[in-house]
Parts: sequence; C-alpha cells; structure tokens
Amino acid sequence: MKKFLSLVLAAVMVLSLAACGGGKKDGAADAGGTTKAAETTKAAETTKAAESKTESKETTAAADSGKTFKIGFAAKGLSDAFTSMEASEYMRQAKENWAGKLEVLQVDCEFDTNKQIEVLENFIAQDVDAIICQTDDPEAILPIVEECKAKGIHFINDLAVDCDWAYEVESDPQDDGQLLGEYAVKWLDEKKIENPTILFMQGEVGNQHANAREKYCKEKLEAAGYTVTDTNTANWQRDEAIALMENWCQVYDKIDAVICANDEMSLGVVQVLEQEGRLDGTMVISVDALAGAVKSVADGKLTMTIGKDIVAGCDMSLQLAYDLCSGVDRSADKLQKVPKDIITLDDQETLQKWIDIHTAAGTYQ
Amino acid sequence: MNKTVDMKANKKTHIIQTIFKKYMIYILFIAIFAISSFASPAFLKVSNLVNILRQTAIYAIIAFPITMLIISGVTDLSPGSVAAFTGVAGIVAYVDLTTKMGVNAVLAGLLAVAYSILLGIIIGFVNGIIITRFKVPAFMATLAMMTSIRGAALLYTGGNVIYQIGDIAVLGKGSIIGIPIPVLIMLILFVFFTILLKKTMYGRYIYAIGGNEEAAVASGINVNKIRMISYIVQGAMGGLAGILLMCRLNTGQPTAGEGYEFDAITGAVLGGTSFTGGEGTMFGTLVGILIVGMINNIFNLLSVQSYYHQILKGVLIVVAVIIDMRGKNSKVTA
Repeated sequence: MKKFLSLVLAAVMVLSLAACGGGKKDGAADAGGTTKAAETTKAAETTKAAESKTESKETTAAADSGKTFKIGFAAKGLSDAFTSMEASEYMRQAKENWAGKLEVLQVDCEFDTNKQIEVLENFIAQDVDAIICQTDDPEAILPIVEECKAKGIHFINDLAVDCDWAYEVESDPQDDGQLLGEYAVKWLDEKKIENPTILFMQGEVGNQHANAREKYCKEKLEAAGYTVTDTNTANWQRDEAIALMENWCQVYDKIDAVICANDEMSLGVVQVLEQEGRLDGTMVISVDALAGAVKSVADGKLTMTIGKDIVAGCDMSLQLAYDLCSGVDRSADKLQKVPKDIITLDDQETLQKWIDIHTAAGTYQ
Repeated sequence: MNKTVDMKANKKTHIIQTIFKKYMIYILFIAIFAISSFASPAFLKVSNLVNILRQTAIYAIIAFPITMLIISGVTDLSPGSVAAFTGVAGIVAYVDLTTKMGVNAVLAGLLAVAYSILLGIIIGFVNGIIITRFKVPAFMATLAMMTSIRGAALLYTGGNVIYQIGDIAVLGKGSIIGIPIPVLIMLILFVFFTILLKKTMYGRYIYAIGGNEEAAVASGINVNKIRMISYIVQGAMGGLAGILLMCRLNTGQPTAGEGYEFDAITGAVLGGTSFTGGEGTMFGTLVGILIVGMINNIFNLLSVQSYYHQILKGVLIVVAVIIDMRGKNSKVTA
C-alpha cells in the first residue's frame, strides 16, 4: 500500500514540479532580458516599426480599459535556437511592458503542425482574447482561424493566412530567400569568379520556410545568370551540416559560396571550412542572426546573416493584440512587415546593434 | 508455523501487487483527471474534453494494432512514417480524382481512403515478410521501414506540402451528432479490436504466442501467419490514420506523423500491455492513450514547457515497465 501511495504522490509531484518549472523558466528569461532592456528598446526604436508602434501606443492610451487580456502564444518550436529566442523575447516584453494588461500563455508546438492545431484548439477552449501564432503551416491552421473569427478571438499570425480575420505581423520566408539571393549575387559579381561553385544547404525538406528560402534565393541567382552547383539538406541541424560539408569538401576542389537556410547549419559549415583551411575567400551566408552567428560575423568567419528584428516584431504583435482586445481600430494594419537586417562585418552599426541585442539577452559570449 | 505465516504474507503481498498492477492505470487516470480539473478551469469544459478525444483519436487508431503486436511479443516503429506516406498518397489520389477525372467527391473520398489503407496493407505485408521469412528482428525491420517510408513520402511529394485538398478535409475536421469523425472512427475500431482480441481464435493465438512462443508452436499455432496478419492489420490502420491525419491538417504533409509510434507505444504500455508479451487489453490501451492525451492537454492549458512534458512521458513509460517487470518477477517467486 505504501508503494502505491508513493507512486500516486510521485505522479502528483512530477506534475506540480512541471507546473512550477514552467513559471520559473519565464522568470529566468525575464531576468536575462532585464539587464539591458533599455538598450534593446533603444535599438528597436531605430526601426520604422518602432516608430509606428509609438503612434499606435498613443491611440491606445485613450482606449486603456484597465482589463487584463488573456493572450495565447503558440511558439513554433522551442528546440530551435531562433524560435526559442523569439519566444523568450515575447515573454520578456509581456512581463516588463505589459504587466497587468496582457497575460501571455506560451505553449511549445514542437515543430509539429498537428501539435500546433492542438495548442490552438486548447487556447480556444481556454477562452483567450487573442492568439499570437508562430505558424508552421498557414493552410493547416485556416479552420482554426475561421473558428476564432466565429468566436471573436483575435488572431495574429507571422505568415499570410487566407482569412480576412487574421492580422499579419509578417516575417515572410520569401523575403529571407530573396535577401540571401540578392546578397549572394552582389558578392559573386564583385569577386568576378568564373563558373563559381555555389552550394545550397537546405533546411528540413517539405518545411515551408525551408522551401521558400531555397526557392526565392535560387530565383535571384538564376536571374543573375548563376547556377547552384549542388543542393542538399542538413535538416536545420549543425551536426548534419558538418557531415554534409565534410562530404562536399571531398567532392569539390573549389568552393566559392555556401548558402545555408539557417545559422545552425552555416556555423557547422564555417567550422568544417576552417578546419580544412578553405574558409578564406569563401562566402558563407545564412538566416537567423543567432548569437553564435553574429559572433562569427564579428570574428570575420561567417560572411553574412539575416536578422529579423525580434524586439520590434514582438512589440508590434503584443501592441496589436492589446489594441484589438481593447477595441482600437487597427484595420489599416492588417499586414505589417517585421524589419530585417543584413548583418555583415562591413556594416559595423548593424553588427553592433545585434551584438547589443544578444548581450542584453545574455546569449552573446 | 513460521513457514505458514510467511506463505500467507507472501500470498497477501502478491494479491496486493496484482490488484495494484491491474488497477494502477485507472487510478492514474482518475488522479490526473482530478488534478487537471483543479489545475485549470478550462479543463472540464465540454469543448476541451472533446478536444482531448479529437487529439488522441489518431494515436489510438495506431495504438490498437500496436497493442496486438506487443502482446504477441513484437513491435512496430514505422506507423508514423506509414501514416505520412499513405496519407499524402491518399490526398494526391483524391485531388487527382476530383480535379483531373471529375469523380464525385464522396466516391473519390472513399477511393482515397481505400487507397491509403491498401498502401498501408502492402507496407505491413512487406514488414511481415521481412520479419517472418527473413527472421530480421522486428525492432530493426520496422526501424528500417520507418526511415525508408519517410523518404518515400518526401520523394512522392518532391518534399512539398500539398495544398487545396478539397472536401475530403471534412474527414478530419467534421462531426456527426457533435462527435468528431476521427473520434467516431476510433470508437468503432475500439469495439472491433476488443472483439478481435477477446472473442476470436486469432486473438487467443496472439496471447498464446506472446505468453510462450515455443509452446504456441508446439501446440500447432502458425506463428508466422498470425504475425503476418498482425503486421498487415497494423499497416491498414497506419493507412487509415494517415489519411485522417492529413484531413485534420488540411494539407498533405510528408513530414507529418513523426514520433506517433512512440505515443502509441507509450499508451499501450501505460495501459498494461506487457513488453514481454502475453498481456494487455484494448481498454487499457485506450485509457493509456487518453492519459497521454490528458497530459498533453493540461500541460498546454497550464503553459508548461514541452521539455517537462517529454521528461514526464519518459518517466511514466519507465514506471509502467518497472511495474510490469516486478509483477512478472513476483509471479515467478510466488
């Protein structure tokens, strides 16, 4: 009987521990973010988005109802460094800037579309006032958005959803692909390399972000007359990227450019090229502006990374959520684009801005 | 005198252990249900309870045949990949039938479901052949199948997601008399598999093979044939789960279904299915799957990070296996 009681107690304890732990994590994220919150806000304020936010805040001041609105935040996947960083920023801003006005419930969708649908269904069951979604697949969640419309739950998405109810604070992977392509073309044109060997490292094949980054980058290259020599996937992962790059080094005597769909992979590529003594003169570019990637750019290893202004993006979404819940008319802002930075060693101002962002978050080492 | 007292004490301990093992799953279910009810006011809402059922239906459809495999002493790691491949294939078939060949939506839907199930049956048959004829351990054979079929799903779609799947999506999203269609299918299959396992000769052979394979062979049971049927049934259910999953996702996703076999096996083992074979029930599996679903749900409602969730699932499965093993050992010593 004692054993039975201990088992039931253990189950209860594990649940309680987990529940307590969830709270702690947010706190930890907040602690990390508080350090230089003022600096990060300052950085964000330099963007156009932040300027529009200021205007919006003025309009909201009048509509301040004093009510705390419940917001469901569906984080796409916390096992990935970039999405996890963005999720932490959401929670930090919610605590620091919106305490008493917004209660943000964050749930991890584990990069699984079905799991994301489950999470959104659960938010609806909890009667949240608005949902902010880092979307895995906009078409898959369309029925949920329709349900939110029927129930009057505001829906803010980071990708285009085919429903007039949804607001977009957009970070379009198409933009990432085009920016990658444009930068690669510019670099290759400047270097004037004949028949350059260009390698493209894909994210997880079938993933919408991976597909779009590849498609639109290659379109830009092809339009400029460049052909990608080889394409293969490393599934967003650094370990797979290292193995793939090691193999590519065996196949190609000359490698001029490696374009990666995310920073985790490009950092693996840089590591291999450095070990092989082939990094000098090779362009390695990617997307995400992770702390490690920004450091690598600062060290002159990674050529370029694209940074989505997370601080501004989170602020835009939370402000929009608050305005919509308060009844402020934001119909003119159905589509807002999150600003993106091209981070290179040549642009010291932008590079320093991102070093500051990561330093404030405690991730820059 | 002392020996008699010891024997009585041993017997009493054994009875308590047996009762504990038999009812542990239900106590756990009630405990989690009760804790969840207090932890979140949203938990007991009808819409949330329907959510739990809807969210567990596809896992249960995979878990029922897996229970039979585990009872007979083998397993299958490929259902998640099978669901992805058969699901996207069924969706492509439906889209082609309705848009290119002008087939009526209902007929096309039925044909697409049948096609997914047929593909699942073929995959199950191949699994069965590899395991029974070539004597490859089930774990390795189905692990290899899991990888190959995932690749086949990506190859089939060129790595792309299939959009505009049309009216077939109602299979995953629609309801009949307020009950979501996947839940209805799950309940029908629950009744079917319960009868299959408890009331048919095939079901009795499954228990006999898992209990003692050598004795089953000696008593004239065709073990290979029974295993082959079990893998074919598993494949068929993988196909059905696949098309329902794609309908629920409103898209054909070749990357979907990853890790579903793990949740299905977790549900079966939590529900009292013994990994050493010979024991398990469909009702136990259903309750086990619902426990996994409830934990997923309450952790979402409480905004608990998925890291804790994964730890807890691992802890639960280990605890369930330990209890199972202790029960077996105590039987031997008793």
